Amino acid sequence: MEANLQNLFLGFSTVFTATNLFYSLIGCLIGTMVGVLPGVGPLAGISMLLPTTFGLNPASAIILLAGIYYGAMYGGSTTSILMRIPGEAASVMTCIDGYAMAQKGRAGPALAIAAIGSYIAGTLSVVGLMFLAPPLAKFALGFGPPEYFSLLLCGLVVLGYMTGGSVVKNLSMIVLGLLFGMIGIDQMTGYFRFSYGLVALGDGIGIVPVAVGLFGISEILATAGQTKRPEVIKPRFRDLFPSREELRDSMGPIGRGTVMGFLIGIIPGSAHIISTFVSYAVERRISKHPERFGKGAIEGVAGPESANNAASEGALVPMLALGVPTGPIPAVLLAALMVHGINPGPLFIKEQPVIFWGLIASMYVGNLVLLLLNLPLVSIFVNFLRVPYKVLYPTILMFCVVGVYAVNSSLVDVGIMSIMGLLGYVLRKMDFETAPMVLGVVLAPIIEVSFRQALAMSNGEYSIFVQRPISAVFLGGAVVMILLALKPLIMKKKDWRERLTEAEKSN
Amino acid sequence: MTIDRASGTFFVLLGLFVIWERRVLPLGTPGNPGPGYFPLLLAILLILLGGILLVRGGQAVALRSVQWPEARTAMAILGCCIFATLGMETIGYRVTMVLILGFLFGILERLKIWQVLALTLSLAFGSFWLFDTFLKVPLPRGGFGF
Amino acid sequence: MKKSKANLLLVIAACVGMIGLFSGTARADEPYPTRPIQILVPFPPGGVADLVARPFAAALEKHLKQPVVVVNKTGAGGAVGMQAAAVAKPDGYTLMVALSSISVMPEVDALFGRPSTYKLKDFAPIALLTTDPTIFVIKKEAPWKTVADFVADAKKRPNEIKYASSGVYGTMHVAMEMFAQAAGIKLRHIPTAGGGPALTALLGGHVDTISGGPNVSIPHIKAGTLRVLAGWGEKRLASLPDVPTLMELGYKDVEFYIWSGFFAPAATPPAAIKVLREGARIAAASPEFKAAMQKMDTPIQYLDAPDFQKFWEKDAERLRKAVRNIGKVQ
Repeated sequence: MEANLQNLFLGFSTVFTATNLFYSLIGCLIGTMVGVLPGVGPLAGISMLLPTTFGLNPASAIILLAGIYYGAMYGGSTTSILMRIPGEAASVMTCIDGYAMAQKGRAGPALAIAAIGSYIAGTLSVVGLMFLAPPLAKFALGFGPPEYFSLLLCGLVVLGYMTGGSVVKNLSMIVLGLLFGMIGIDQMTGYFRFSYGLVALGDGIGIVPVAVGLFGISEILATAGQTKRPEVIKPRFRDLFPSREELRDSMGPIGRGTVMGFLIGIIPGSAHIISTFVSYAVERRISKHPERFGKGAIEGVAGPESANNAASEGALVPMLALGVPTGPIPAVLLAALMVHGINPGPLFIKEQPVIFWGLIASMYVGNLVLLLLNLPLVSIFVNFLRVPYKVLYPTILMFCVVGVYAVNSSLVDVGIMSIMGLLGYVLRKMDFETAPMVLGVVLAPIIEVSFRQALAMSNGEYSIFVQRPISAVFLGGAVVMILLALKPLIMKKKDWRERLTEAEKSN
Repeated sequence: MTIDRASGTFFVLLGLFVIWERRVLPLGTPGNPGPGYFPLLLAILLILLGGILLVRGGQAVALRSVQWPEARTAMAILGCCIFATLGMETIGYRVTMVLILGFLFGILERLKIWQVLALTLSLAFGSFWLFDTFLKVPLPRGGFGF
Repeated sequence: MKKSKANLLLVIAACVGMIGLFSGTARADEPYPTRPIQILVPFPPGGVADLVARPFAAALEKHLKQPVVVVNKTGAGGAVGMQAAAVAKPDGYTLMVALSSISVMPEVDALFGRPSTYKLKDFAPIALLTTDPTIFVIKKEAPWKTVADFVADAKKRPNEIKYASSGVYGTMHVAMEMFAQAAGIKLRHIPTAGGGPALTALLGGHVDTISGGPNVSIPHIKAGTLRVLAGWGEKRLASLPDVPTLMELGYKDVEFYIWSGFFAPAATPPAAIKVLREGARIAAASPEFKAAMQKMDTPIQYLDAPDFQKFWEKDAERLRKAVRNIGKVQ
């Protein structure tokens, strides 16, 4: 503990130099901007700036890039709430209740709670990162293919509670998403699946075109031509702040979102978006008024946004503690360090205390900067709603096109976005909720590959899923939840039969 | 014909399509699933779900009652997206955007000409500067080198 | 409606006018290069190819006095970017830095009977930049002390020892299979989504070994969590001088490098290629490039075009044989 505090001092002294503060600020600014722009996400932002960091010293480089990373999580909620367009893929869940709140004139509180929740989650996660990094990282390594599969299966079952509407319709959305996720090169055997000769589909349809298309483009398609535009209540100044009740209601989701997001983030290979889905599902499940979700429940914004930020910092744990990248973004951060001749490995924390603790300290500072940056911006952003829609939507359309293109310099992505936009538009008319489909697209490759990898590891024995303790726990959890879900059906039937028997008896 | 029945039919057809398309992919065994295994499973699941929607879809909203008032505009916007997809690399980002935005602002939304010009040019060139120059994301310059 | 149409035509006319104003195409008789040059990297940022290409581009820019921009065009294990480079205009302004996997993919396509996305002769090699032999890494607690131990164990229990790779027919897969073929053993292959996940799988004990890239494995070797038994190179690695090569241990022809090379579309005019060859030579010898590669523990192995061509052909033939031996994974 003593050593940690001493190191923290070292970290703060590194950060509070003019240069590093400057880079932290720039990183947060660019991150916010990158998050706000639809399509362009933190990965694109970090990749764009990677070359410019080659000339900096390593501490400044990593501070800058990390700032972009978690800054993007703050910015991503802005367009989600104001325009139902995910600023970056993981902000999809915020679109649902956030936009509903905006339509009721509560855009300000939604944005504010998103910022506050992100700040609390971010700061708490840094504490977790500081103290728990090495042991957590070891735990994360224990996750192999069987554990992934069971975890994701459990997650899918949890998500059965997620959205309102018919269970069959939600399930079909998930299955449809899973099917779309099958497009691309099969990782285990090298076969091209459903790609019809288009090499660009080899990696599958990306999550960014799907998220922006299904939510953003379909929203534009559905609203642009309407002669009677839905009345957007323009908020007054005092409506910009969350009410005391809203703040109180958000605290629970923020706390739970932080813990869940952080834990999910440290698992290598899990996408941040999964943490937002889980948080939303859990909040809905334990809420006393689940029917409010989807119509503007503040918990539906607070939970996912906190989970998002916590997951992005949790993802840094294995990278910093062991030198193991948990996903593409930590991999780029690793590369940024490698270019400076620093190879993060198990000894990174010991051998490079300046960089590690400088980074930790910069994260405290960065989160605070982002909070102070985003709160006043709320009043500015809310004014976006005042712009007449007929000017707004072509602008949004343009940003969507260029944002999606910018991710991979690929027009095929723009095409996928357009098709998804059309699909989302039609599905909305048919009364389907599109969020589960996004989850399906994200999860499909991971679930299938984990399943087949696990079987390859065990040479065909299915028992591997229950032999390994972590996997067995998750599978058990999934089974329990399925049984719980079926219980009302069984119990009701019994009651019904009992009543019928009694009625017959009394006759 | 209700919306549920329509979507249910669509899912069943899609599932059958997937089953047909995946016939080139080997199935493997349950102990060693091949690339065709999961798609087949999912397709069967989709057909099942589609079937349930079909059968129980009688109580849903009638297909005819679904309003499509914005369909014409939506199709025009979609057309713009497809135009961008097909043409942006050939004729360059700025030209494409000017054309699309000009179309949307000028023809669809009937803004005044000076508004159209101002918005179109500033947005197309502004966003180009933002992405290409500032963020260093190369945007296509098209055959004119522009 | 007429008025709006007229207005729109006005707008288009104005734009076309401005295009004429702003366009600047190079004239044919000026010495190459006169415009910014684009180097396509078919792999994601932060990967090996990217980390070699960027310092190289910076050094090349200094020499050619024109901006040299790196563009990542990822997908399908590199096939997307390679295809884009193969069909790019051969005017010398679109070039590519690619890894040894370039030789593997057309062979894999042939294996599956599908038309290949590009052919090796679509590219003119300009220079070889770096070569990184892979290394045989195991966990610290593993029972084998030498490669011979490992091979003996593998012969006793065929298809039991597991190894991870960065993807089927990827660099780590082909390298390990080359060795397994030469040693006459059968190992169980667990493909993962990339080099990072493969290393993670080894660290977590989910597999027993990998044939990994040196720069990501060395920190763990230094920290003691992993051990290295051999290397796939022709010579020993400078950073691991005590590690024997597989060729030394008697496995002839088991040579595998993750090399990076600088290519141009085959039809690029010879004058441009001459300039590029000279530029590549100077860039590869420049102190900044050397320093950058040194920091990443990546050995520079510069070969000019004719030598690179020979190296490439030999290496491609080796990889082709290995892929054909692997056959279709089922």
